[in-house]
Amino acid sequence: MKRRAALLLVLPLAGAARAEDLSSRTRLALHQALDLHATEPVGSPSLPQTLTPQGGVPGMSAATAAQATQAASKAQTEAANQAAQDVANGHGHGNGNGNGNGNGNDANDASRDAAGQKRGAEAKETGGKGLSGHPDKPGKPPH
Amino acid sequence: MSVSAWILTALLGAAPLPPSAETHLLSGAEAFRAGNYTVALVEFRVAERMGSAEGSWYAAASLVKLGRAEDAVEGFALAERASAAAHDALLDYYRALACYQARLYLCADRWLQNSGSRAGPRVSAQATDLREAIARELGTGRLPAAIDVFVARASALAVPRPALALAYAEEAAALAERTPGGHRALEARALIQRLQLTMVGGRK
Repeated sequence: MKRRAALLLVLPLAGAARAEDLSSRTRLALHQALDLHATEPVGSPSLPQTLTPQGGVPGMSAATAAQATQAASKAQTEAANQAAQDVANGHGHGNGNGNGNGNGNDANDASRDAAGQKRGAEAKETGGKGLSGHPDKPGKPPH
Repeated sequence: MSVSAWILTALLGAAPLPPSAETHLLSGAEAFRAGNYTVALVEFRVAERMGSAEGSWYAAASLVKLGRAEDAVEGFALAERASAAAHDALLDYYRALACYQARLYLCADRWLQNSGSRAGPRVSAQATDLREAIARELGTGRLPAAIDVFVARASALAVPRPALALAYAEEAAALAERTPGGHRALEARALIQRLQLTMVGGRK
């Protein structure tokens, strides 16, 4: 009887401890991840002097830049939202490393689609030459 | 209850739980760490949808790394409205980077100052450098044209994206205070008031 009572006490406590451990572990992982990539922007600050589309690429026409940026951003957002919805609905998703149980609608597809659309628009504008750019770098603020 | 029943109960208790918001935060952290910011964004968005206040903040940080400055500025503003307490000095630094990328330098300066030394010595040193560079740029006398840009941007975004529009209007008003005669200060302040009302109305 005493052993049963002790078990009844210990099991919920063990569960609570496990939840607490996960929380501190998650917090640490989040902090370390952000700290690792907390880089300094490369470009010097430069106040905008004319109204140009945000995120445009120098060398592109304003319309094409806006179109490319909008297409890339929209594709990323839509795919991210769709993936989030799938996961929230319990349909699962890929983990971006190719070893997930995904349904093909993972975030890498989103970035590939977005990058593809942007490159397409750039190529159209520059006659196939394309432009360099790395979305991963904070870099010079978009014009 | 028999011994086997106890063992079964214990085993069920130890069975893996369905993924929680925290599981997705952890996955997001791992993806962010690996530089897979699009994957991180998805994971943080999932956590956000499952009710995690932190998810919104970290999704905004992922947007910074994806170079989506305006989305990030808006994301941080909305995260703050949803849960002002769920952030730390490092997230403040990322918020400063979002403002910096969007060329909202007074906004960036405010968050860099907020981040202070709490974000660690390396980030703190970077913040100091950035604040010095911002101070130099703000002293160049190119403020009126920038104010014009921000007022126009705030007006254009007022209906579709009031949180982002508010960031632009606040920047315009803050810059106006630094110009002789307060270039378009009244207009910027009126925009702020209108946008704040829109935001409160939208939240209700």
